[in-house]
Amino acid sequence: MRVLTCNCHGLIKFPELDLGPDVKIEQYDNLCKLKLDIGADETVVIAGCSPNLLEGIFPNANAEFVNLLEHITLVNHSPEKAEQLIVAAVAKMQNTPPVKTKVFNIKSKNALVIGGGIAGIEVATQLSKNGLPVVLIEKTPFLGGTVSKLDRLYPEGTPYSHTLMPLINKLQTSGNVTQFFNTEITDVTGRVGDYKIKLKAKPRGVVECINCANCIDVCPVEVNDAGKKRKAIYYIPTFPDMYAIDFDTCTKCGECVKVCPGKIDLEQKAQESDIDSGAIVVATGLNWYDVSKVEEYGYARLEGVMKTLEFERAVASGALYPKKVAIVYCAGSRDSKHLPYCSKICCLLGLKEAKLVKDRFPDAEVYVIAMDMRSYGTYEYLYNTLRDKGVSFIKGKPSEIHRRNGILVVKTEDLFTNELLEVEVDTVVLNSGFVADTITFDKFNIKLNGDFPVLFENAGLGNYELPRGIFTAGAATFPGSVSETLIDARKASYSALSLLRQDKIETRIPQAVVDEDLCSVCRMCIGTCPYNAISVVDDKIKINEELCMGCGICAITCPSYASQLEGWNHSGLYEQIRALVKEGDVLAIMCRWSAYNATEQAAHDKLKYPENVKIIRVPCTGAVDPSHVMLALRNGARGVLIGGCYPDACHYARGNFRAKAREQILRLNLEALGMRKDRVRLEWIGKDEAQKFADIVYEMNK
Amino acid sequence: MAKPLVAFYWCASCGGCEESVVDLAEDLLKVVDAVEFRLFPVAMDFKYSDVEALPDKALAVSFINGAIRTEEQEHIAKLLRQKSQLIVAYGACAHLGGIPGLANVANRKEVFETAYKNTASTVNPKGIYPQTVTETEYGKLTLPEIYDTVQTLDQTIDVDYYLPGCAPPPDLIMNAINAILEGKLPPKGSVLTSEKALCETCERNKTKPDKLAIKDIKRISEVKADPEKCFLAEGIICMGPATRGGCGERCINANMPCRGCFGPTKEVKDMGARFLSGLASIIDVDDEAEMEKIAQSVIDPIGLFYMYSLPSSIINRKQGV
Ligand code: SF4
Ligand code: SF4
Ligand code: SF4
Ligand code: SF4
Ligand code: SF4
Repeated sequence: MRVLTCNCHGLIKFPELDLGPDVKIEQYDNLCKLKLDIGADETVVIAGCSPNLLEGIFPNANAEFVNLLEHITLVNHSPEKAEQLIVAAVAKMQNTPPVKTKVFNIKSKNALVIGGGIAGIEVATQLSKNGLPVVLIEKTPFLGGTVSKLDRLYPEGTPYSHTLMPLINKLQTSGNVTQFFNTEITDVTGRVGDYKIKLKAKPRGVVECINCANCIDVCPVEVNDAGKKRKAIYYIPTFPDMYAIDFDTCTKCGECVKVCPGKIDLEQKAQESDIDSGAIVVATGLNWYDVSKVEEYGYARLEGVMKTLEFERAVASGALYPKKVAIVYCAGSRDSKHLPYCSKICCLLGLKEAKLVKDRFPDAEVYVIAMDMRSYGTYEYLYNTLRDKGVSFIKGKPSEIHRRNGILVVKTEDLFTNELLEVEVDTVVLNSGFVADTITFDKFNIKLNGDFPVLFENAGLGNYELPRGIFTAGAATFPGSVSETLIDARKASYSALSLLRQDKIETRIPQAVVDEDLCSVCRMCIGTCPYNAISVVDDKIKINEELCMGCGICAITCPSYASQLEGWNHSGLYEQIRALVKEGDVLAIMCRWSAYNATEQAAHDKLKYPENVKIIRVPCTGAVDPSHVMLALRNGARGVLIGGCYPDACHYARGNFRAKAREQILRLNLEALGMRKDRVRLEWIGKDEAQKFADIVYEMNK
Repeated sequence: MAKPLVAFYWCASCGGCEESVVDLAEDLLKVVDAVEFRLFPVAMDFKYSDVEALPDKALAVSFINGAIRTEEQEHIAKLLRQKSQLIVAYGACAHLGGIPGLANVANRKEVFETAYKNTASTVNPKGIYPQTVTETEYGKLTLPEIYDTVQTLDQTIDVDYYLPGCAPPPDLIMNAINAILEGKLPPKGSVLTSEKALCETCERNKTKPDKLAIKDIKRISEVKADPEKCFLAEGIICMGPATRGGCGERCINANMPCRGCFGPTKEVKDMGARFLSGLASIIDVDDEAEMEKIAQSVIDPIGLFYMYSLPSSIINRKQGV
C-alpha cells in the first residue's frame, strides 16, 4: 500500500513515519499539480490538504484522506497527532476493499416519451430533430393533452391553437417519431440504456376516416366532456386527423357504421407491442384534484357549482351565460385534509377565468375569493388588469356554499374588512389544485414528494452520476404555465439526449453491496433507504445500482453487516478508530457535507481547539455505527461527537434523523452501562459553524 | 481403535447445558458408544487429578459450558485447554457470557450483598460473605475467588468452536459431534450453526412488510402477540434479525420473540449495538422530540440488547462499579 504525502509547498511539516514493511511512503511538494496515476484496484492514503480538494483531483482513488493542513498545521497541533492520523488511515485502508467500477451499456438509442401533451410533443420533437429514434405514446386518441381541452391560455387569453398547432406540426415533420395513441404501458423491465417496455393500444374503432362528420349526426350517445357536449364518436382538431370512438360510452348501436364512407370497426381488438429504449421521458401531465372531496363546497350536489375546466369550456362554447360569478381559490389546496401543497398555477388560472367572463360579458359581476394571490413574477400585471376591469377581490377562505331561494350563497370572511360576507351568485367556480399521474411514476419507481417528483433535496434529483435514464418533463415534474412546461421539456430533452449520445456510462461512486451469504432477508434495511434503492428480488435483497447514492444508512441498519458501503466498510472503520483513539481523546465523526467543513473552517478562522480532538470524515451521520462509538469509548475516549447537517438539510434526505434515533437509544444504553450519556453527542453543525464545533469540543473536554 | 477421550465441563451456568445432553435421547447412547468420558462432573465421578494426570492433548475434545467468573473455573478451563486437542464453547454462557454475564452490571461486592443479604429469603444479620480463606477450629477452609467481571470462555482460553444456544439444541449437538468424529470440521473459530440470522428461516418473516416502520416500541409482556405475525413488524422487540439462526425458532414457536441466545452473525462483534442500530433505524418519525419519547420507551436496554452477550460485547461491563 502507498501513502502519498504532500507538504503543500513546504507548509506542512511531516513527522518521521514508520509504517512497517508493507507500506510505501511517497513524498510530494504539490500533489495537486501532478497527474499521478492511482490504480482502480489500489487502496491508498493521501495525506496533505483538504479531501474536498484532493477528491476532485483523484476522483477515482480508493483513498482515505488525512487533512494535515487544516487539522494539524494551521491549528498548531503536533506532528505526533499527524502520525496517529496517518497510522489510523492506513489501518482503515488495509481493511477496505476497493470500490467496484459500475458500467451501464447504452444498448438502445431509442427514446420513449410518455404523454402527448405539449411537454411530450416538445421532447419528442427535440430528440428526433437531434437524430434519435423516438416512440411517443399517448393514452387518449388525440395529441394535445390538457392544453387541447382549454379555451385559452393565460395571461393574454390567446386560444390554445396559437401554441399547440405549431408544436404538433413541428413534431410531424421532425424526423423519426413513431406515435401510438390510446396506448398505455403494461410492463417495464431493464435499466438505463436497456429498457424493455410492453405497450397496449386500446381500439380506436375508427379505422379509416375522411373527416366528413356524418357519424356525429347519427350517434345517439351524448357525452358531457368536462363542460362541453360531444358524441360517443368524436374528434379533437389536433392530431391525428381522424375520429375516434369513446368505448366507455359507446353502446355499439352501429348507427355510425351505416353512414361512414370510411371504415369503422366496433369490435376492433387491443394491440400489444414491445419496444426497447435507452431513456424514458415521463410527460404525463396533470389532473385536477377531485374537488367533490371538499364537501362543504357542494360540488356535484349544488347546481351551478363548477370546476375550473368545466366553467371555461361551458362559457367558451356558449353553453353558459353567467351574470354573477364567484371564483373560489385554493379549493382543497394548501389544506392538510386535501392537497397539502400549492399547485402554483391555479391562481393564474382563476384570473384567466375572471378575464374570460369579463371579455365575454363585461357587465357580469366577478368575485375572486382568495386567501393569497400568488400572481408571481410578471403575472402581477394580469391581476392589475382585472382589478381595473372591476373584478372584486375578497381575502378569505369560504367556509360553506349553499343554495338559498335559487341563488348560490358563498359564506366567507373578508380579512380586509373583518366582516362575514354572504356573496350571492349564479355560478361558483371551484379553483382547485392539481395531482399527478402517479400510476406511471409507480411503474418507473420515481420517488415523489407529495404528489409530484419535485424533491426538495439539495443533493439534486437522485443520483446525478448514475442517471437512471428516466426523466420527467412538464407538468409531470410540477404544474407550470405553458412556457414553463416547454422549458422543462427542453431540459428533459437535453438530459435524455446527453445520455443517449454515450455508448456506456462508467462510474466509481461507492455504493452499498450486500453479501448474500450473510443476508437473512430480514428486510430491516429496505425502508431506511432514502432513494428506494433496496428491494427483494427472487427472495434476495438487491441494491439498485442506478438509485443508490452511497449514503451508508442501510449498512448501519443491517444487524448482520451483510450490507456494507464501499469504501466505508465496518472493519475498516473499526480498525481506524481502534488505532486512532487514545485515552482521554475526543473523537469527532463528521459528515463530509457540513460538519467536516466546519472543522476545516476552524483552521482558517484561526480558532483553537484541543489537540486531543481527532476528526474522521464520513459520508453522512446516518453512516455512523453505534458500535464504533462504543469502541472509541472503550479505547478511553472522553467523548464522541457526531456532527452533521441540520434537520431536513441532510444530503441524503433522512440520514440525520436515522442518526438521531440511533444516538437516542445508544445514549440510554450507555447510561445503563454506567456512563454519562453526554459523552456521546450528535450535533447539527453547519459548514461555516467553526465556532460551534470548537465550543462543543471544548465542552466535551471538560 | 481406541475411543476418543472427551471431557464435558461446567463453569458459571445453570445446568441447562447438561440437560441438553440428556435431551439427545437415544442419540446419547450412540455418543456414549463412540467416545470415552474423562471428566463429566454432573454424571460421572472423575477427579481433577485424573485430568491432570493425562498427557497434554490427550483429550480429543472438551466441551465447556458456562461463563468464567471464578478462579476455579479459570483454572480448569486452562487445564482442559492444555489437555485437549479441541475446545468447544458449549452454550450461550461459554460462547457469549450468557445470563450469568448480566452480573457485569454490578461487581462482586454488589452481587454478594444481593445474594447473601438483601434477598427477601436471606437472613444474614452479621453480614457474613464468602471468603477465599476462612480460619476455623478445624483448620483453614478455602473457596475459589469470585471475580468482579464475568468473562466468556474465549476471553480466558483459546476456543476452537462454538456450539451456540441457551441451551444448544440436539440437532446441532449431534452435527457437531459427528463432524468431530468424522474429522469434517469447518475453519477454526466457527460457530456451529447457520451463518445467517434467524429471520432467514423464521416462518413469520413472510408476514413482514417490505418496509419496516414502527411508531412505538413494545415489550412482549405488555401485549398479546399475534401468533402469526412478525414480532418486529408489530413493534415488539425481536432480536431475530441480529441473531444467528439454527435454533429451530424455539422461542418464536412458543410465541415469544427471540432474545438472541445464539449470538451475532460472524462479522458482528457487538450484537447489542448492532441490533440497537437496526431497531432505531426503523423508527418512523422525523420529529426529534417524538423520537426521544420513543427511545425512552426502551426499558432496560442491557437486558434487552445484551441478554446473553454482555461479557462478549465491546463495552463488556458497567463502568464505574
Ligand atoms: S363517418 Fe366515418 S369518415 Fe366520417 S367522420 Fe365519422 S368516422 Fe370519419
Ligand atoms: S440506504 Fe444509502 S447506501 Fe443503502 S442502498 Fe440506499 S442509497 Fe444506497
Ligand atoms: S438488513 Fe442486512 S440482513 Fe437484513 S435484509 Fe438488509 S442486508 Fe439483509
Ligand atoms: S424479526 Fe423475529 S419474528 Fe420477525 S421474522 Fe425475524 S425472527 Fe421472525
Ligand atoms: S429464538 Fe432466539 S432466544 Fe430463542 S432459542 Fe432461538 S436464538 Fe435463542
